[in-house]
Amino acid sequence: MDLIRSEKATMDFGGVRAVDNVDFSVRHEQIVGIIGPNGSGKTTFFNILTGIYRPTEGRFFLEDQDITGWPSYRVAQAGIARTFQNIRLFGNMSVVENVMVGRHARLKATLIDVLFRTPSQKKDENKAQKKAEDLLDFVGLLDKKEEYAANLAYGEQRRLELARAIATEPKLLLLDEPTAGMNPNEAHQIMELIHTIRDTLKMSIVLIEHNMQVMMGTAEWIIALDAGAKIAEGVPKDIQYNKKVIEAYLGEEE
Amino acid sequence: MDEYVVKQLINGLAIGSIYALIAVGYNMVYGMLGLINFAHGDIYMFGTFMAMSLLLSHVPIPIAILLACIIGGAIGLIVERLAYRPVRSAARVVPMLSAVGVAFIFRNIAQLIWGTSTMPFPELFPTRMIQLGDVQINSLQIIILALALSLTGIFALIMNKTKMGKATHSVSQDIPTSRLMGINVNRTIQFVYFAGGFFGVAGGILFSMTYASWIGMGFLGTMKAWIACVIGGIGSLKGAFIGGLLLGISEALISGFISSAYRDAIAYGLVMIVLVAWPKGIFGHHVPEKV
Amino acid sequence: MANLNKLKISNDPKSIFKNWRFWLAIIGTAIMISVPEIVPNDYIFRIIISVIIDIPLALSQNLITGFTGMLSLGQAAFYGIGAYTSSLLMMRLGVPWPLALLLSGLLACIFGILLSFPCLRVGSDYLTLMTIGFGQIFYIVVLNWMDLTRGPMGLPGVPPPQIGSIVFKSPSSIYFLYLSITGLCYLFTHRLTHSHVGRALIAIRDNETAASAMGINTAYYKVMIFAFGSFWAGISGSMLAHFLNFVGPMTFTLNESLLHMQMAILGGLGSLPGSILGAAILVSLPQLFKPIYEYQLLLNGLLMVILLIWRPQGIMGKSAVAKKVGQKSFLKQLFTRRDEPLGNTEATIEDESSNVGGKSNGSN
Repeated sequence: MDLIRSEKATMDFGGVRAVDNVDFSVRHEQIVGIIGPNGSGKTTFFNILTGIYRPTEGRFFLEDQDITGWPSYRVAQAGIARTFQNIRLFGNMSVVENVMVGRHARLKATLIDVLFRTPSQKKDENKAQKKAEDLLDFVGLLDKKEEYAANLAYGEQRRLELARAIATEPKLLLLDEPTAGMNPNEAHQIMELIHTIRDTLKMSIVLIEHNMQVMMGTAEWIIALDAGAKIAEGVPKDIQYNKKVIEAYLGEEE
Repeated sequence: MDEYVVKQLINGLAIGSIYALIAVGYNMVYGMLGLINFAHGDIYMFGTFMAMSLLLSHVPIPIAILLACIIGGAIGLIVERLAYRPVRSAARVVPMLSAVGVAFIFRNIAQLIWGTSTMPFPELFPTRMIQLGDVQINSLQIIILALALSLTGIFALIMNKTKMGKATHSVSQDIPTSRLMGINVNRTIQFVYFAGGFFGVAGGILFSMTYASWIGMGFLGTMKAWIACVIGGIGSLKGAFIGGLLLGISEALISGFISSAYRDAIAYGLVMIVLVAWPKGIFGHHVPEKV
Repeated sequence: MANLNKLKISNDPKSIFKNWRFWLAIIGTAIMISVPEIVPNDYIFRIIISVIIDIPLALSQNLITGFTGMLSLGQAAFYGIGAYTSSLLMMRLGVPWPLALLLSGLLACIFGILLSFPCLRVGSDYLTLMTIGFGQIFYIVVLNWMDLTRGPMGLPGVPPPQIGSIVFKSPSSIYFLYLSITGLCYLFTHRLTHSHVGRALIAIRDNETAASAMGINTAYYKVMIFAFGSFWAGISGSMLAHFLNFVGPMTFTLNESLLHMQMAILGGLGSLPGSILGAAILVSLPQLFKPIYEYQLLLNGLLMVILLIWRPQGIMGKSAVAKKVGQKSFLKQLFTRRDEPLGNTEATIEDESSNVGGKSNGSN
């Protein structure tokens, strides 16, 4: 059984078709890449998968459950986490608090527990903090845990977003251009991190990337979009030399 | 019964045209810049009292009124300089609340100068009752309607035909792009605040001619103007005007047929429903972003 | 907020004595208990009690606007609902005070929930207008419903609080009673904000899309905080009524809501102790300096303008973020316009869809 699957996913904005009948699937513990020129609908696809928009047509399945049209918080609770193209951190909270927000869906404490500070709530909070710190250690940000998130360097912010997304204990992690704006060194670190995440945390990962080196080195399977439609899919080596893909990129206006 | 309805409609139209004029001024800042200008009402209140003082000092009528409108515009400029520009980079809340602060300041100054009692507006010209079929109308109401219409017309001309007016349209869409096109954004915003104050005072004077003047009328006007803009569609001059008329007519009908005490409460309730169901209003094109 | 256990007793029990917060708590408690002895006259005592009554209002406003980012200007309505409900229950139905207090909070809470639903469906500007509208409706209804509220004449003779056979008539007794109630409010608010709920609220304020993407049910939290806030506003109302022994509509106007907003801003949005400070300053100053009564609005207005221009984060709001990377202060970051994105946290989701369909107009 696939982990997630989309059938004829389509998204129209007014008169414009941003995503056009995309069939897409990801297996458990697989790393899949999505490539395509600017405006080809990659991020929009993420947005409809995660419930930020409701798809105009088509369906999405998480394992065997139909999650089409679910609001984004419900999709997150079901096990799909994401990072954003333009980093969306909670700037006024500390680094560790940002990651703790990621634990939100997995916390058991109710409002009553909070108001009366029951032992179970205290335990919950401590566990959440511990888990957050572990994750910060994992991405190499533990020494900055009390810093305001807005004050981190760009690369650190990306890693923080990653830690926060992982904190939700997802089955599927969606990464939107995780290495954008990074130098080759930092990009390589992220690449390794992605592999480690998949190997040790056993989650599937879908990533959107413009950096072809990162993409070819990380993804096991790639789909290519152009103008919202899927134009090719296959193993990285095949995609690299696929005529349609090359045309799509060459035809892109810079 | 028919007669009663007609009478209410005429009353509604009369007061509605005043609301319309005040709303058109209000829409300047609200529609163009997306800021709820809480100071609007108190600006025109101040200007109206000024007009009253000038008239009572035997300044010739047209000069007195023109001067008062200009003062209203000038106060608008002060609001822009003090309450809006320093906090421009923060969105709606901060300039909104600082406008409240400025409103309070002017309200208090007005109180100190003119006291807190209600005062009738000096009669500018003789009025009489006109018979139209079975219904009696006050000629004042007709004059006010005519004035409101013409002033709004002038205003629309300015907005559509002059360079400044077109610049305003551009700025209300997109500030960075307007700047790139060479538009002096600061100057345009100042114009918006000035025009808002100017026409607001005009509306306020008409209002006082119909009713009377009192310090609290400012806030009342701000609320009416805002409601009119919501109904008519934010950002639309046409909308503000029609919204004002509709508000006046609805008020008159509610007052006449349901209850006059709860009139405003019902009006607010209806507005809240409109906000949820038809956020664009009648002519609106600019829906404020969802949180 | 990240320092969850500032008072935690570390391995060395004696170290608690070095902790300044410990001493502050001790001294603070000592002062609070001895207030009735220290206070020079009844007038000042009544001002202190007024401050205590208004603290839950400032805290509610802070929770709704400061922590969650919703600009509600309708708090006065819930304040009023609480005041009238409590008075009418005791006076017309003979309900005992403790129950009247609780029911007034609950009724205000219910109205808060009802108001929050339509507010969920409208944009941030409109939310403000909705709450103003609600406040106005409440005021007009109370002013005109003679049978229930006696309109502008108000309800005189509201009985003082009473538990069993103990009547809380003296300022001292009311002081301690209300101090406990407000203290409870502060305790709950503190616990709420220093938990995952607090983080969820701030997340919603700072970046609602991301909050949602982390599994936070934003609608639930918005309704919940409205409920919590309006509950305590209602409790404040009840406290007011039984203290003044009178309820009248003039207290519950938009100006009152604006005052609560000012208390929260002056103290610092996001800072709970700040709300106490804000309430203390804005309640006591007008009372202490009676001669300036005529200039009240003027001074209030000046305060607002100066505060918002010069120090929008209030007295105790965080400005640490601002200093470090040249970013604007807490409040400005909180309320930044979309056409001038601040740092990385303000881009709209439309940007990420890569200009599909041309320039977005901000509507989803």
